Amino acid sequence: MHDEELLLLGVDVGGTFTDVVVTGDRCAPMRAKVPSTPLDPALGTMAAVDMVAAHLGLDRRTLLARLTRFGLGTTVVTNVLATKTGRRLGLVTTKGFEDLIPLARGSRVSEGGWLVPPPSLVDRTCIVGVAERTTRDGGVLTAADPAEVVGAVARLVEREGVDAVVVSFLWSFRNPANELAARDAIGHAYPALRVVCGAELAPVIREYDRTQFALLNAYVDGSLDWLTGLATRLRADGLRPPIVLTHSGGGVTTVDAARRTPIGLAQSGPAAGGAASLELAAVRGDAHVVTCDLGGTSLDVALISAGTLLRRTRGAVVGHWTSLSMVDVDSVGSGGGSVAWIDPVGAIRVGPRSAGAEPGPACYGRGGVEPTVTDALVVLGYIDAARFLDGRMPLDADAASSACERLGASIGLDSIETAWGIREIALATMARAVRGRIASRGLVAADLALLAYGGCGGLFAVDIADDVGARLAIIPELAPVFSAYGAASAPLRRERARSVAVRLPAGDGALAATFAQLRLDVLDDLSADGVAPADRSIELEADVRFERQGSEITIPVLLAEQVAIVDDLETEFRAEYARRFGAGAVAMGIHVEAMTLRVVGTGARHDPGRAGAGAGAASPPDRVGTRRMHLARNGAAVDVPVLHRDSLTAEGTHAGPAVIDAGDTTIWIAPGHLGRLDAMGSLVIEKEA
Amino acid sequence: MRATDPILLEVMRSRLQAVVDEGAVAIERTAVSPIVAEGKDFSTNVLTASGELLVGGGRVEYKWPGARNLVRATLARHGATVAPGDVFAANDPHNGGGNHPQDIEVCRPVFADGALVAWVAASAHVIDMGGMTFGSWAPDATECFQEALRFPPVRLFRAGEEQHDVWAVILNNVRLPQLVEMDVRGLIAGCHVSAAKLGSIVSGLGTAEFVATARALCDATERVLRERIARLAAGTYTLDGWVEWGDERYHLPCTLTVYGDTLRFDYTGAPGQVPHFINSKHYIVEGQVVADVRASIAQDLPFCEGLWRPIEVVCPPGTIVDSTPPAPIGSAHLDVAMNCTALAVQCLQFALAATADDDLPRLYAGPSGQAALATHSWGYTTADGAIDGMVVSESFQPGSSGGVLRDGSDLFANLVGSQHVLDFVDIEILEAWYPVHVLEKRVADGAYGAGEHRSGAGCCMAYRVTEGRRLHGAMFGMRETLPIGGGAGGEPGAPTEFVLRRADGSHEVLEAHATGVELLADDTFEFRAGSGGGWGDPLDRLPELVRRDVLVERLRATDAESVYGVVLRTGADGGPVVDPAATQQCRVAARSARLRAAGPPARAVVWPDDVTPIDDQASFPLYHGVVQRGRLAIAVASGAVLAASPDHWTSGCPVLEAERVSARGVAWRQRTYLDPISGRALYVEAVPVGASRSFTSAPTRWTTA
Repeated sequence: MHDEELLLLGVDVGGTFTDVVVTGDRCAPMRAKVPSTPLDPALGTMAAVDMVAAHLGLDRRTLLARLTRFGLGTTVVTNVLATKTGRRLGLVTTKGFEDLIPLARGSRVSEGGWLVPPPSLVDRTCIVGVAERTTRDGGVLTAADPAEVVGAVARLVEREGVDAVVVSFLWSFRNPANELAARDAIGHAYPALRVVCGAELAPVIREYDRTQFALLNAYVDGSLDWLTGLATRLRADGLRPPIVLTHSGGGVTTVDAARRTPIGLAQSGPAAGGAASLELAAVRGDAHVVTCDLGGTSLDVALISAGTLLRRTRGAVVGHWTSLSMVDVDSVGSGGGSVAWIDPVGAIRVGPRSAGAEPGPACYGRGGVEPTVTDALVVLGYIDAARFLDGRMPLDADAASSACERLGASIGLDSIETAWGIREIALATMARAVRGRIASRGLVAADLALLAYGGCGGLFAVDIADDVGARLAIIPELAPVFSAYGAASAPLRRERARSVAVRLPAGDGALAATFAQLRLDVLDDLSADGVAPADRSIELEADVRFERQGSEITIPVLLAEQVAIVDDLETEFRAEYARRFGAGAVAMGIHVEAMTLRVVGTGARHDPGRAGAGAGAASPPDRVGTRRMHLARNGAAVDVPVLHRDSLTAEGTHAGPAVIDAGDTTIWIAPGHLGRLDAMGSLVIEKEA
Repeated sequence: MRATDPILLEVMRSRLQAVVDEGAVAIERTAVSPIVAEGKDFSTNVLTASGELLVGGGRVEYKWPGARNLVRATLARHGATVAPGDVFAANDPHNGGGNHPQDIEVCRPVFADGALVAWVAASAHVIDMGGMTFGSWAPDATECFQEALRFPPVRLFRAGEEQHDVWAVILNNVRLPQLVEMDVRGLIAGCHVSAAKLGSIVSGLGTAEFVATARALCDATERVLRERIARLAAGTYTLDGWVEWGDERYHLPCTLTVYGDTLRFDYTGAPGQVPHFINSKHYIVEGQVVADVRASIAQDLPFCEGLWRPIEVVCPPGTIVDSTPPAPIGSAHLDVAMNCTALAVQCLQFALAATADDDLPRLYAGPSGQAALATHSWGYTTADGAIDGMVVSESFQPGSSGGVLRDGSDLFANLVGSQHVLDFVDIEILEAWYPVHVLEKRVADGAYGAGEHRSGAGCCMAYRVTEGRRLHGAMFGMRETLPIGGGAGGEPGAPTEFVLRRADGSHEVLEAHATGVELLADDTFEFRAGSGGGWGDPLDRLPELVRRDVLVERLRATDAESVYGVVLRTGADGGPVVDPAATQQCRVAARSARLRAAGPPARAVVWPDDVTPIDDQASFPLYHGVVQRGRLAIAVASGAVLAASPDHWTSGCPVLEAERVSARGVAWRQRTYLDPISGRALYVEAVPVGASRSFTSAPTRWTTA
């Protein structure tokens, strides 16, 4: 630790654990993990800070004084939704449309074969309509009557016992007059009641999304109040910069803003993981990345395209559809705890049910008897039962084997074959989810690097990458505390975009002029952020489509002598379109249009370096030994070398089959592949040439 | 390799699902018309070399059987000349097409080592295929030649080479050719993406292994479905339905025979084909029946060819259930076909209700509400003179039937299934796109589909024309008079209604198949989609649930009392509260009133000739609330003897017959079969005036007792 070195700190306040990571320009990242304190999450946060300070040999005040960033991500908001412990809501809406929220836009979910609406944040009996209407051009056809509104709210409060009310009317985003009048009337009559307006928080078209956004914010209102106390405490203890929070979109926000719209933090955890991935990808120079967070119960997949973490503006938050700018994460129920079973046609299936932490996989020895993916990995030798979590939690290999044997008996397979099948099927399910995500954003798998983290990420990364056709797999060193790392690493990134919607070829130089203006704006933004000219990099791109299509393809645009080259945009689009969808899909007589132009600027990155690695050591790495593994469905087990991660060097390559033991996680290098460390300490696995 | 490899089977099923899912995404990203890109009315499939279905993608299961029809017709027509790089398309239901001429079906062969190993296929509902009306829905057409351009399987590409002449013929005959071209090219994109992925699966596995595993997938599915069918109570189950066209009613009988491990649904007796666009085709009826049988007893099985094998669907050629040219077929998957499958589901429910097997996976629910759509479309000229039009997607939102242990679903046709089909269009988007101002959109109110578990409600919506536009419309609704029946004593559902309120204050109820409807500035158009029926006697419904329906204004307090026997009072907070004692009294009175008003049973059980001691006889289910003991049918709750074998179990039920009249003044009958002791409703049917009992439940175990 260098004196006076400036440091960045990231915290991830989860439901079970609070993780913290500290990084700096010249030191290896330092991390700590403490139990969370749900009643006052600030306590667990302070404990984590103290612990990491101790690791660094500092006291709390010294550490805080040297921080240039205190980043925080949290699942607290998500937990309120998941445990259904939010406020009891009432909704005042336009008369004639009271049923729309419970109807959930026609969405239905399968519940044991029955199709039912997703759970509603507000009960139909707590929804009242009032006579009011604004038209599509913003004209007020019928003004809201304050007396009627207050009467409706009186019934909600007195009869239904609601403790927060949402007001959401049709077309209020165009003219909020009726909504604001209603809000003021309620505020006057019930000064203590929390009232949230649809148009105030999200002035966007689509009444369902807008109303849901207001309902979600009202539902989790108050869940972030502890942040104010934490900020005061940290400031008193010497922290200079304000706390920055990772919001669902992957960027950052302030404590006050987060408390105003707490639902913005609902996807904070995945967003922080996305931010960390983006940071890592940028340092490595990978422009296109698919990220896989593979834990005990689910696989979360997100994408980075052209250096941008892909977002969506609408989507589901813990099962509730809304409009919210968030990292485009897709989740499937497939993880280490996924349970294997036999379906009616006699095929092995894996998940989506998970054994969770209790009873957990059979090998945990906590009473689980059904085989899980983790059990299969133990039976096959991918996980060393004796050395699980650095030997802190030895697993029961016999229990894993018996569980597989019992399942296989009914279909004529032995325990090894059953375990092999469970792993293959889990892999096919994961690959299908990854493929689906890549396809839905119109990306090409061969361009992608696959970045895997989470407890099981390292064991499946290389095989998922192969199956989907990604060019390589990356397993970051900080995988177990990746979200905290994301909260620490500030992606200094500025983006300017403009909708143009012009038919190509545009001809009059308008596109180049727009690009030029966007570029100047981004350069201004970067210099406002203090990025030196030499550290800036700029990329241009255009979203292009055939007329009337709903989706675009992003085409990179070159810059020559500071002028955007746009003459070939249509030709490049047609070529890329044919590459993705086949030449037969390219329409002849249909015009091509450029929809959005975008300029992305980035500043130079921190290189957290890797001071802890055995730099320069060219000697072959220490083998921990070998392990008996079943790599094929049938036949004998083979001896596979096991390497310790700390013994790896940046120079050496390691041919598969091999297992890398990284303490709290294990990485698998498949036969025919080479693994090596990059400058960031990530393990990179590629097909052998 | 063993016959069914439990690992490879699931790995391949999962990979095939990825193939069609990726194809579906490609279509969604490349197609342009709102009906495809927003409405999601498209599908993708993988089939074997001979056209056996392996897997389907996209939300609309009813589209998947069309791929089977297309590939088989393509093989029949082009057989030996099929080559790599060919792309075929068809849209004629009479000749290789899908659900109606607006559905274009595309398929592409997949070769490995020079041999045909599989097909990929895709289908979408395009915005127009020519003919006499915009959108090619033509209730006035009397021959298929008037409805649309139709073509059999023809090559759009030959060995990778675009067949410009064929494209030119198609695009010359449709309105909005640019939209149609882009949508068809979207289907080709979907096939391209699917074929590439499938090719890599086949090459990874090897052709022989791929073919063997595909066969194993279908065989295993067939085997399990046969095992389940064999557990059903063998026998015959029938139900009569009626398809409406204006004041005409076409009698549609369905007979289900459960024998061995096979189900046979027989529509013999259906009338000859008619000069209206409701005529259907055998493969369309069959495909819907297969999908709905799966939803009832086999949701856990893969949707593949194996499902077809144990299910026979008999549709006599030349009738409305299997028409031939020149029969118009623009609505071939709606009126007749949807009624066919609703009848089939109800017959299957009779068989399930008579089956004593607690381990059989089954979901008891009434039929889908899809046979009560309030579909309608409008064409108009925009301010700048362009032709445009709208199909109001809310009109596809009937209520579902109720089911055992749960109410039906509002604005959603199916209570059982695996996924939803259509997303609602937001009111603000609708008003931004089209010249309409929406006055209300809510669940239809009224005591329709009453039951212990009531039906869901259909969409009730009213809108006004704006911007001084003039809309020309056609209605293609279903169930304007006779509603869908209920189950287990639940009452029939809601009818479908179209009402026009003129700016001058006059109003008219439109026919469900009205054409040439004109909607002028400041006129209001109102529709209510119908619903399925209720489940169980309404007098058994929890009073609290009835109170709740009154509180949210979907049920009037007077109906709560007259239909549900629930007496409500005004509580201290001004809301309704249940009066338990009065409710109890009201329900007892209602049951005795039913018995007093009922007509005599068809054949009362006569003591002692018909009756034999039953104390030592095992009890088997016959219908919900009715068991068979020895030769006797007994009402479970009261112990009343209803019938002696081989008479139908309703023979001893007093029959309550109520006259009902539709919004356009057409009379029908609601007939209730009562428990002779308790007065509880055991079965309720909706039939035309003069029709006899519309259903039969005759398990062999009963008829031969």
